[in-house]
Amino acid sequence: MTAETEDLAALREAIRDVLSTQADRAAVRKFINSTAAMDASLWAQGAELGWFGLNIPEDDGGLGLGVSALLVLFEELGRAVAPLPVLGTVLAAEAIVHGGNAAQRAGFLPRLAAGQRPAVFALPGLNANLLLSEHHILSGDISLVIDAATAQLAILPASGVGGDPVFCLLDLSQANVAVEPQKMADLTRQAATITVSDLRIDPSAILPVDAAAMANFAGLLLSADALGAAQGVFELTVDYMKTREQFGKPIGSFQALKHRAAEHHIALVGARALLAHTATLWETRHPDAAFHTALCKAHICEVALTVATDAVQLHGGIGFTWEHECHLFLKRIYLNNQLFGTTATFYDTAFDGLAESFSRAA
Amino acid sequence: MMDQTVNPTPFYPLGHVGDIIAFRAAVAGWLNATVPPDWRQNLTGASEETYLKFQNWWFDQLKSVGLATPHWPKSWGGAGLPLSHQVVMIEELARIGGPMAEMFVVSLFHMPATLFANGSPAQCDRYLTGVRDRGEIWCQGFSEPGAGSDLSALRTRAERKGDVYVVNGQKVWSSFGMHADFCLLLARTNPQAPKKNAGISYFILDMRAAGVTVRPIRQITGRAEFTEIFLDNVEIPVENLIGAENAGWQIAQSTLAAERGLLIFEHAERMTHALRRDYQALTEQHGKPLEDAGLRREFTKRYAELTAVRLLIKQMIEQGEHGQDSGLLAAVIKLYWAQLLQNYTSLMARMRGLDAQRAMPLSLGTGHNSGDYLSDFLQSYGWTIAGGTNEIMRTLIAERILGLPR
Repeated sequence: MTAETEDLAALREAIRDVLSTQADRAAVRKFINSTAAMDASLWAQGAELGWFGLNIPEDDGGLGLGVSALLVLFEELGRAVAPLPVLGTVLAAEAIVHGGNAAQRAGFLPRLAAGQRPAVFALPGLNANLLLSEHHILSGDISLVIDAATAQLAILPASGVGGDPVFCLLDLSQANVAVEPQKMADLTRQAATITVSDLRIDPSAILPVDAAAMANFAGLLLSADALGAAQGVFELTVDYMKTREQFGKPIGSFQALKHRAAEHHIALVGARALLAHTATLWETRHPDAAFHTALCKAHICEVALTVATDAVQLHGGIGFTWEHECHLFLKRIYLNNQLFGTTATFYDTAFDGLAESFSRAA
Repeated sequence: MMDQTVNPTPFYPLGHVGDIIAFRAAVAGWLNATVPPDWRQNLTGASEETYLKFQNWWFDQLKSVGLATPHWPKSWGGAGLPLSHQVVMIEELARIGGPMAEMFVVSLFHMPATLFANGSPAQCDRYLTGVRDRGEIWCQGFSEPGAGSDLSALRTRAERKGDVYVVNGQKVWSSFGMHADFCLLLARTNPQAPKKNAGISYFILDMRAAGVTVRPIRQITGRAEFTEIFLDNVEIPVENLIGAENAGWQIAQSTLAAERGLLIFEHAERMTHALRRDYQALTEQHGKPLEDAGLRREFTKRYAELTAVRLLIKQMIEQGEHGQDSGLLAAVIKLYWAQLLQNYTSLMARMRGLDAQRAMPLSLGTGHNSGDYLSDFLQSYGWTIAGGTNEIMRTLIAERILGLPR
């Protein structure tokens, strides 16, 4: 593993800089206490800096900086528990890059990259009840679509003729589409239920989507977000342990507590190495990239949840309050763990990939 | 097997330094031609005598192609091999599952690291040559019954009397002390020093000196690799003091930082290959890959951790190559590795079910993949306790890296 390249380090610095003012403690708190579905000024700032198009090819109006750049963004957003519904847009763009025709690429990608068209993407699951008839009429609903409260465009899974899964690209502002925002336990992100009544889908708007690849890609971004959030809450915790005094000493001097902090530190160091390595595998299109990605989602989200869970405990009573930000991190990491597949399913995906890589090498 | 004379082989890895691909091929070729395919079987249930002979034989093989001391500078008769080449050597050794030069770890790493930095020219000349040319075995005499994690509490006493120090006390946990020619010894020269660690000196002890008694300690695996060393009025000539009197504590730090991650690297590379073999064996045994979802996920989690720790080790080796101090990363890796090893070997023992619960003949020198899964697990305490217990490492990481108060 090599150290982060200068370009990525500069990008990280720039993003952290923006977030330190636009998504500092006060700004996040203000968003949570508001009724707004998203922090419009943070979105505008992100759009101006090209955050939504980091991984969209330059020819399609993005910055073409690759997956590594995107991971830096997600890690920093997680670290700040920033209320920015970027995941949906990035996933929709990824689906269009791989499955869209020339007109769709030209029509959507530059606007997604510019943040002019917030979008969402969802996978089939228990929450998805959309049917596409043989005449291409879409009906039904899908709940808990993350980032959908503010989205204008969606790529949604439906059950096609014979039950085969298909993915439909649709504009959410049409008359036969209703978007009902759903608040989540994670106060920094929102979802929505999307209900569609007899909407005709043009055959060209049925996209070929590799669902497993999209689950993996989403998992990669969520691992970065979880790692950043875990790092953020861990830094808060260590600082607190240095200043909070009981029995006349900082609580960080107590061995039972400092040993737990050491365990969290090494787990995070390992998780960071795994993520950086996986990013390199993506950049080089290595055949092991896919299963390492599943490994990241399972392992990093698991590590992050352990750290965040203990962060509340290490803060004691103050960590149990609504006022303290510990719970923001904990809830965000919890949601990341459940989005696009659980830890167990990603471990299983990773295991299958590992087995395959063994037989490839044999 | 071990009495054979060295087969002349066409492989000479040191002839390919600078061309890493050719070097790798030469190392692999040499290993294939040299390592007896049945060495593990031959050491299962073998006597300590047989094992000692095998270790000496393996050292001679390495020496015959200049690979016994690849990491030593040329000025001391080493190969001065760049770290990148040492990494390749270890990778190939792990790939073929060759023997470890287990009895020579102190001889090859700790002793030279100590003498390079602090030894007199005469000491370097005598003792480095002894290892390089004669395969002398060294052990370490640091811990005592009353000084384990709190090493600076050691009580073995060395009193200067004319041209000698007279040493009395007891050392413990010295690996291969029964075979050792020399010992890196810490002893107290100034009991009145204001700080405990300020009164300690560092000596070279001849294990054949009068008054030295060595007694093996049997471990929970049944094997006796450790020893106690009793020192009863042992005379150490003053020229065997390393560095200044009472400077032993600082010098000991260079001993402990000796191996720059290469030992853990070797173990992690070996685990990588063992994991693949274990996967294949378990798959064959059950007809399909690891049916039990819980165990399968645990296996995958261990693979994630193994991947992570290998990346961290590579990072540490790179830092070493650039002359950066990687002491704190080394502490992270030590703790991470120790827990991973224990968890992995425990998983394997559980996956093998009742089969792994049979008493098996001792397998000497086969590391943590001996084929005796319970024994491999028991052996893992060697990493969680020795060289700084997990608890000592956690305290160190919390205080030195995270800055938590003492």
